[in-house]
Amino acid sequence: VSAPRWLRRLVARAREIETWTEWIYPHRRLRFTRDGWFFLGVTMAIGLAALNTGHNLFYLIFAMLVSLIIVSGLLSERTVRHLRVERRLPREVFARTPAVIELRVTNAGRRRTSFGVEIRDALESEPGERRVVGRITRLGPGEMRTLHALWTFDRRGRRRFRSIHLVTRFPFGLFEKTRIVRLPAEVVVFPAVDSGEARGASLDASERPLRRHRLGDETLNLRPLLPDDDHRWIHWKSSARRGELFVREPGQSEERPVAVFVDDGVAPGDAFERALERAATLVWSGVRSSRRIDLYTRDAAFPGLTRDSLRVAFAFLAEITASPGRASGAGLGRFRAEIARGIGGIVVTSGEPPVAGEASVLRVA
Amino acid sequence: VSAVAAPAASRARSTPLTFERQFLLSSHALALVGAVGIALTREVGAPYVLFALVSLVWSAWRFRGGAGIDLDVRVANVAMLVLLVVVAIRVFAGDLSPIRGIAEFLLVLLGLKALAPKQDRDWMQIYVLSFFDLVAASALTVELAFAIVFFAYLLLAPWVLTLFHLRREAIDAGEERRLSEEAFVDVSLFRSIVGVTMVLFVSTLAVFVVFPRMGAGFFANPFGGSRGLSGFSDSVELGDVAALQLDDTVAMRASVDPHDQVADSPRYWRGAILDVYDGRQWSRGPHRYRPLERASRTVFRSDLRRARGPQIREEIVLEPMEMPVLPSLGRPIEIRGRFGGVLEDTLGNLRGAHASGARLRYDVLAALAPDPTPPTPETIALPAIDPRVRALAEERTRGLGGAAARAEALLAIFREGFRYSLEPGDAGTADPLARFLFETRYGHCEYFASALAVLLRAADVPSRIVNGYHGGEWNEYGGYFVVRQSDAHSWVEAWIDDAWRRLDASPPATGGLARRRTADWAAWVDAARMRWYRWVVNYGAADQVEIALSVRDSSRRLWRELGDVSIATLWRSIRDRLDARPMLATGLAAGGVLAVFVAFALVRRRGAAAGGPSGVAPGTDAYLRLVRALGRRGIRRRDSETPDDLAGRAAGMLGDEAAPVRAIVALYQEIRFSGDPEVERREGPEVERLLERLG
Repeated sequence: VSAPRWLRRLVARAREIETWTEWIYPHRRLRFTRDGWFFLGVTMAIGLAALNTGHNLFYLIFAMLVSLIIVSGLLSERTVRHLRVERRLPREVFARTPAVIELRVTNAGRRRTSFGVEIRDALESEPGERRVVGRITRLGPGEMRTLHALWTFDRRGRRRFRSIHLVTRFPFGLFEKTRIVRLPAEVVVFPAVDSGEARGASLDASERPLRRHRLGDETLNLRPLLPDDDHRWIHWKSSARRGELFVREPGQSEERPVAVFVDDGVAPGDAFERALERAATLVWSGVRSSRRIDLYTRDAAFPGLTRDSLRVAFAFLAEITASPGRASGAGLGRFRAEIARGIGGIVVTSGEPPVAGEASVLRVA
Repeated sequence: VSAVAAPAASRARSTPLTFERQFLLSSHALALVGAVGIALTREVGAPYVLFALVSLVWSAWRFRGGAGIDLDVRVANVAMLVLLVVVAIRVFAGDLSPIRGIAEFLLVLLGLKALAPKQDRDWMQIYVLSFFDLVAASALTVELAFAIVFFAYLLLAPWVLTLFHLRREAIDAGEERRLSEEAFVDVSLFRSIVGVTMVLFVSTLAVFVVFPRMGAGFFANPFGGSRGLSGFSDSVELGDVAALQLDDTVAMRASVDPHDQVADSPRYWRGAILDVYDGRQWSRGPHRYRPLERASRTVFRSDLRRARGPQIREEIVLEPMEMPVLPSLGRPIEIRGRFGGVLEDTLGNLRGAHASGARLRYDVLAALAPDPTPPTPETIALPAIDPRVRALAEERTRGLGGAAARAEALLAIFREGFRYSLEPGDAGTADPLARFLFETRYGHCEYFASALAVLLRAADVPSRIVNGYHGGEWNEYGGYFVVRQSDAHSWVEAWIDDAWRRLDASPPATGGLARRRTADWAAWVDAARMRWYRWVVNYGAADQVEIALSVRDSSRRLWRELGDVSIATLWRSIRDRLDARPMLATGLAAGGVLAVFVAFALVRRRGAAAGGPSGVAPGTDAYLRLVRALGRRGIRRRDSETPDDLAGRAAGMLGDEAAPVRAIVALYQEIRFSGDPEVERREGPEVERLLERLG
């Protein structure tokens, strides 16, 4: 038996709202400022004095104060009502590296200028007060203002933004009117990419260039002439010295592809996070230096990463969870196969490394 | 005192009306309104008012000038403390009422604040002080002047508070420099605040009207002093009433319903009725006051409920009087007002139990028929008087039988060369009446009345003196009579044909002071003042009920009328109402013309803002016509489609016929976005041709 529709809607609404005032006025919040509390106190005092004495001029002043409150509400509403907000997220966000998040605020009103609007934003994981990402002193009709805010995420993972708050104390500074703009957005924070020190050391360990023979301009070797050799490759100087025809063996040395294996079959925790970051650093630096990099986990494989496919791999790393005792999956199998083919491999782990042939092991404590 | 420059102001000098200058000017104006509010009450010593006003003007001038001296904050603080102690001592010593003490303290505080250097916080304090000045003024006065101050405050407060807030935000945002360089307050903000002020007025009025009341409001300041006008007491010496006649102050205002009943007849507002005369002084005999029946909290009834004859309703606003006398036309049958009680004696004297020195509003239902209450022994008693008086009475009434005839004969004496004068000479002679009757033959109304009353008694006709007001000036703007102290008068009531009948011996043409007619503007102001008293100061629960019932009745009537209304009857009804109120008709006509003008201006302005005369951007009209034309052919524009998208889709569907579509879209984009008005003029005919071709 399902709950009635109205009840479901009510529950959904209860989940959606942020303050009880939204029950009365959706997407709005009203708070008194310090001056506002004082103003309210004076208003109540004058009201009490009017009731107590029956003196109509006190009633008149009381009416004026109440009206100022009403008018304040109307004007503040006019200030935030026609504002449109757009949040633009960067494509790549790394943990612990400041990311620029852009907010575009447009006054869609035809005639009304907005004054004194503060824009506040927050992540779902950050309860409490939102951070002020910008302040607009004045925004005329049709005008747009772009605000840039630097956000630094401590950890990798998927982060959801809460609604944006457009806050104004206009016109009298007595109340803080907030327009709650539901603007769902999420960002996938990649693991932090760390300093080059680890990067260099790790890749050097796997440095063993591959050679591709009969191609390229590089002279790999000198050897005696064979019957089918092209005579253009004869190295006359050596042939003269040795009295026998020698040819140049052309070739091209290539950096050996590196396969990085991140071990996710370990216990979760800070060590695993560091291992992830180390692996991400290796992969990132490798791709940036145009080296061929493969990334493997126990279950997944990202061979031949490029700048574009790197995002997919990092997004995967952003949300990967460690699970001790995870069985060796397809990813690990492919990694082992690559190592067996002679590709350089690095196992990055925070626990006991799986057996993977000649791959070097980078253990992160 | 330390010399402190005002850098903001010096920068402001270069631009005529920068934000900073607007802020400073309006802030000073608001503070000034508060101080003027207290000054207009005339309840606070002039030095305090002067100090505040001069300080504020000096402060404003200094900001305008760019630099000057500021009072040291420590000096200001010490001065405040000293003043606080002085005011407290004076209040505790009973030398000063607490509210006046507070008002004086506020004024000095405001003055010191104006002289001291001002940070953000100080401006807020000045606003708060100004507001409390307004509150103090409301406690000290209920006069129309407060309405003007309140109006000014209502006009300025939203403006100043908004500027203050914007200034604070600009400073917080590090844009302080802009304040002294830019006007910042643009048309949009100005328009907003003007609109807001209008809303504020309406809202203030609405809250004031609907906020629940417990009873009726005071008609005078409940915290002010108790200064009242000299009125009519239970004993009056010859000359007391004449002294009142030298005073042109308004004593009361009264509207009478039906107005025709009294408009053309002499109006005698009865105050004190006195029956004992000792040769120099009139007083009230030993008659016990008894309370009138209290029908409800504010309704008091006399025994005259079944009185016959014409009756009138009066609404009287009595200025603060020293004596609790309740003047009225005729004899009160029912009195409504905020009294602790109403007392009446056998003579018909009425006394209200209410705060002395307070303005009073009461309604009276009165009988105009003569009072049939039998005379008391005091009304026939004569003191030791000059024998010539008695001889004169006997001589004139000899042979006349009825009291009416005797009274008429005695009244005739005063038409024989007697003159009216407010300076009858020395009243300290042994028998001023004899001197008046046989020597001087001139005097004021009290001499005439007293002489007639004594002559009547000498002729065995019971008589008594009535002190009150005679006449009153009609205020056509307010629809009421304005009765002044100078209308004070004495007349006689004589027991004739079993009732007390009024006899006025004073020469009719000279009754009261010869006074200039009140100027039209003064009458208008007085009417405004009365409305202010009536609908603001004295507004109460009964009025709320009345308004609520009136709204209910009006809405019911409206619904009923709308039920079977036709255009003809509606028009007739409107025309009839407007015919009856030519001022309203004129106002409506003027308002209509103004509304049309404003609407026209708005449309034009909006059109100009959008780029075209009709409010649509150039070329858009053609594009919209294209969209409609395509819609008729079954190609409906999707919300997400740009003009090019639409043209592309149309080309796919219409084939060769789509050529004009692409052309129109291209021309539309050129007209719309080139920003050159010439393009529209040049390409307009081509667009028209293409549209026609498309059908």
